[in-house]
Amino acid sequence: MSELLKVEGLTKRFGGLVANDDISFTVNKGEIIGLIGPNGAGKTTLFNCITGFHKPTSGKVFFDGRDITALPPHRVSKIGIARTFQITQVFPKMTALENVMIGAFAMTNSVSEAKDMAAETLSFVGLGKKMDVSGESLPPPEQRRLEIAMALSTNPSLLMLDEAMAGLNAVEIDESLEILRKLNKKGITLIIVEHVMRAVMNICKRIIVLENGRKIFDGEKEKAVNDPAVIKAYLGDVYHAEG
Amino acid sequence: MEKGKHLYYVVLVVLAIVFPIVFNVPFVQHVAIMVFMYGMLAESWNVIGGYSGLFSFGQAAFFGIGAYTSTLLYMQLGLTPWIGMIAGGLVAIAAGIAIGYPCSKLKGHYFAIATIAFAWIINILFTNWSFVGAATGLSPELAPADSWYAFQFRSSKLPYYYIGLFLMLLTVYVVNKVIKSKTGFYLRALGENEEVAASLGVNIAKYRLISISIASFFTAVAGSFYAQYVLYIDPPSVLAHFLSVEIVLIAMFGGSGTIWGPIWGALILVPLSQYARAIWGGMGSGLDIMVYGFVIMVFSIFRPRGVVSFFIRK
Amino acid sequence: MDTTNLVQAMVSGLLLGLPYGLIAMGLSIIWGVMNIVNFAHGEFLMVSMYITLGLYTFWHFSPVMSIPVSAVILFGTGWLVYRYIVSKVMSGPMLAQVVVTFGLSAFLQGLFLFLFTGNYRTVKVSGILSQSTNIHGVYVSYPQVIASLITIVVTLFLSWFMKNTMTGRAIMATEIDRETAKLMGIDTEKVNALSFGIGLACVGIAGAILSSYYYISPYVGLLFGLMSFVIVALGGFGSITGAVIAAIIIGEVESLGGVLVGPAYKYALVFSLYLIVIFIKPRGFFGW
Ligand SMILES: Nc1ncnc2c1ncn2[C@@H]1O[C@H](COP(=O)(O)OP(=O)(O)OP(=O)(O)O)[C@@H](O)[C@H]1O
Ligand SMILES: [Mg+2]
Repeated sequence: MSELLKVEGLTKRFGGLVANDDISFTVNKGEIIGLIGPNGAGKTTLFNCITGFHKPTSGKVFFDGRDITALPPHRVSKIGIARTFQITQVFPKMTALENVMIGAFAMTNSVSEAKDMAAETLSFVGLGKKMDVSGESLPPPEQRRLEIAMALSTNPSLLMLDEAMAGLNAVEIDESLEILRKLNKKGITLIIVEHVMRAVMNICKRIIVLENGRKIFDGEKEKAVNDPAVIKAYLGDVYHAEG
Repeated sequence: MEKGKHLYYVVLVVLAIVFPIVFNVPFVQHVAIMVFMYGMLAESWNVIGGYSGLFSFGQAAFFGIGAYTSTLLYMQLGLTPWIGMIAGGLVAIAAGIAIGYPCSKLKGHYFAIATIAFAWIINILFTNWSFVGAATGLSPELAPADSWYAFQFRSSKLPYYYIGLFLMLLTVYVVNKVIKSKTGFYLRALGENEEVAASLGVNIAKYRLISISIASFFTAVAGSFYAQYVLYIDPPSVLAHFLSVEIVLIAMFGGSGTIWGPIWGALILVPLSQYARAIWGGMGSGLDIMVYGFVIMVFSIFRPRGVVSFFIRK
Repeated sequence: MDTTNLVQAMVSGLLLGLPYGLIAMGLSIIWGVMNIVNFAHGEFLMVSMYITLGLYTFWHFSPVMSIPVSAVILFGTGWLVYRYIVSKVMSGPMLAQVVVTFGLSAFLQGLFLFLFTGNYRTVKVSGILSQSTNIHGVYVSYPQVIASLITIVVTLFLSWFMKNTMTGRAIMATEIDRETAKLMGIDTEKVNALSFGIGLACVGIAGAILSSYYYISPYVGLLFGLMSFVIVALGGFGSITGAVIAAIIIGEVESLGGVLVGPAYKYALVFSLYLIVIFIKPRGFFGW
């Protein structure tokens, strides 16, 4: 297995708050990694640091052997990393097709080619019938899928999804998982941040757990359920939620 | 449906061509020329404000730069204002990039206020800079007779009418071409959500500058045109804050973010303000500005998407 | 430049800046609570100056006596403007929000131009409002001192009000997080109307006192409005003390710039300073 993404000693501070504390890990080609942790653990921040939306305070990010630390987001997208956002973000006034075309323009300068590629991607995620509906008029679960289509249209080798299943019902989650599996078969590496444990356990082999900005676990999912630090982090979270 | 719509616009253009021959009244022609000029200005603004989501309230700076550049080149070097017009457009692009680059992180109100401040700085500098005539302004030497080289026509308004019409249509044509292209998609993307656009590979800073450049260029060309039409420019006439505001109001009134909206805006509002001015006696009385402001307020409340929203369902 | 001139310029800058702060504070509250820039802010200042002029002309009110009257009228105006104009575009596209107050500013400017012509007018003041003093060669005019003192009083009062009254806390809560405030049972529509009222009341106070030493014309709002946008953007929106501090800085730049570079360029300097700061810190001195 060859190494695709490598994060080395990544730290991100917001004033006094350490949102990411000396995080290191590697991701190999073809893996599906679950990135989990209680609220505020630093998962989104880690995504933002990898994709160039935040500048890490220290540490490095390598992709395909290349140092991509603090590249601006559009460059990160160009080299093959795509992401979605925790709070669904689409272009509200554009049609679903146009939404996806923006991503497809990474591959072509031609409008008609972009249109064809976008239509194909939309059909792939099951939105083939919604091409002319504006982003804002799609129901939230479909906006989630639109986001995935948008990210996919840039032809990424690594796809990072930030809670792409939040708010979906059981059937929709299964549909999404199916899509992700198909993508992985096509050779796309996935990192998914997810609070829906069923989804994580279903699709990921390897899990990385963050707590308070630190990486507290990195390994096979079977081991995670028995890891004392992970249990404590999650139980602690439950206590907070109930107390 | 698309075809029928185009035919409809072809008919309108033909009507526009015969219009000044049928209505051979100087004031009517003057109003029409102003419609074209403001139509061009509002359409230029549409690229940044309507599509790219950058609400510039300082377009007068670029209008003034265009007016001053072509006039100065003619007065100092005898260069024909036709070339001066292009030169003005290029200087405006340079100025647009100079202000746009550092502003690349500003959004919404912050961007709007930065552009207002920029336009005021330009206004103050020109008001005090003797090389450009300071507060007295500039008036090029009048050509002895109507001249294409000097871009001066005094025996009739017709040449200005057709040049204005042509420039406006050219602007609409170019903006339409841009908007339908990949660049246009990217501009709309940054107007709707910069963060997502960046995540999909759109170089925000670059496309902002492209947007600003297109708008600055055509705004400056309109400025040169105006300078040749009135043959006298000074800061209050070509660098006024109110001009910047008018441009936005016209675009927004007609419907920004649509190709023909800004032109509709000019077609309705410019005659309104020109006639209000003529009827209620000059600039001083205030009634024209008042009517203007009132109409805009009512429209932003009841038709926030502009006049064209009467025609577009959705 | 000798020391006396320098001190003179700095004192003038302070006395110039503080009243800007009062105007900007009003804008800042509106901006902070509603995330709307009131582009008619300067024009409301103009309205309050004409109110002061009217009270003087008909009943010989001195500008200081006009302060409460003008404040109350402008508060009511603010409430109504929010209810019948601004609230209608709050959920609309951002451009409509930006443009509606521009329309209002043009309307007010046109209206007053029509009613009172473009002529400059002044309120003839007597007593302390017409006097000045000279401290070791530094000239200080009393009306400016009074305006500055009033600014300080209003700043202190508003800061106290925001922290220690139910209404003030409701405004602060809405400013920090509108949705949560709504969930906690705060009537955010009322908070908006109230904030608009308070914002314009600040301008009402400023306009009254400024009338004692500033000329009055339908265009007077343009400059003051612009100054207050710049000040608020520098000071961080929603911040009352931020507005006052930024106002003092702006006043100093205007005054020192006028002496050092020439009065013609003083506003160009102010706006350049603004652009430079905003390039480095897109959210102003005190923003994040
Ligand atoms: N732009 C920012 N400025 C300041 N603090 C931030 C910023 N972004 C995140 N934080 C803080 O960093 C910490 C980590 O936040 P982050 O959003 O990365 O957590 P998360 O693991 O994604 O949580 P959740 O499961 O709730 O999405 C939190 O305390 C958060 O408040
Ligand atoms: Mg998160």
